[in-house]
Amino acid sequence: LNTLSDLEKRLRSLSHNESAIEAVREFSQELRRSKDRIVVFNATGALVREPISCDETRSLGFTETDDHFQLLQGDIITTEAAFFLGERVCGSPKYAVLTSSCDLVPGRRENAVLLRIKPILETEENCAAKLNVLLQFKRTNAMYLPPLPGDSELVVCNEIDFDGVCQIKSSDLMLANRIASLSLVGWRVFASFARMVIARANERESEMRMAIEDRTEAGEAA
Amino acid sequence: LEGIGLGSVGTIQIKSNKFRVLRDADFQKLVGLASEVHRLKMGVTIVIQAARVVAKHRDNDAIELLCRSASMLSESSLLPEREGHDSFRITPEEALAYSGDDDLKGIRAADIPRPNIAR
Repeated sequence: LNTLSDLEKRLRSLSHNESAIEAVREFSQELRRSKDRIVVFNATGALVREPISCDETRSLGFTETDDHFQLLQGDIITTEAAFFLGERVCGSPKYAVLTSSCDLVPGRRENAVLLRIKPILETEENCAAKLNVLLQFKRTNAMYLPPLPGDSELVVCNEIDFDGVCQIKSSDLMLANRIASLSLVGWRVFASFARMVIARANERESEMRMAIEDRTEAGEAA
Repeated sequence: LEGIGLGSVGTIQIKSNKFRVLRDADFQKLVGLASEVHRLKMGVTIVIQAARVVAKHRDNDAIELLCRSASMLSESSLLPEREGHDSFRITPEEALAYSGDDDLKGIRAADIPRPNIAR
């Protein structure tokens, strides 16, 4: 890479790439029927599993100082110490931890970021349509999760909401109740959504920005 | 320990120490309330500043400022809360487009398998 222009060309297919989320959607489409999707995504250990413990990873040989953790990215927790748009959320709300695992080490960061987990109840209007949208991963800001421990008997599924984030003091987060961790594939799907929300662009924006820079360069050359 | 219900606290007394045991839901409520400290601190700072102004300039405006800042601190609106998250919404177009799936029509939560997550 010799110039910034070369760097931009190399990043063009990497930085705003949507292939990860497309792979998730393709997988869901290949399952064809909603019934099959539910069976696959709701199986034990499919998207969620019991909280990954440090003892478990230590027994697998991850014994270095940096391997120690209390929480991992994507962990599902309940806490009443998180804030959304300046309001503290009460009533045992659930969240998925968005902050990267390496920043969740005690003392490393003062604040952490959480995503809201919203339950979908069988009594809600359009419950079937909501379930269908989520099972097919049709939204770029909503990830499907099966019912979770502690959910009421009316819950048909959950949604991780990538539209807006909550904040919590890291010290308070360490006291949160861990309900579940994401499985390996669940964590990768989660990251695919997180990436989409932060760095998604349509082709028009890319063309618009390139056109502006080309015009500027042409003007300078003239 | 099962006998320790929501809202109650158990006590374990050993030789050198006393421990309190409570349900996690109660613990999370306490941590949530404790997390308000930084917001309260901000409010208290304003009251202290207003009190200092009153100490220097004992006029009606300064006293009213102190009264107002103190009453703001005691009002719950200073510490806004919400009960749970709002619900997941879809557009009318999505509702129309995704409501025709025969597998999901009239589906009940009891029909849906739940992952077995041991804790």
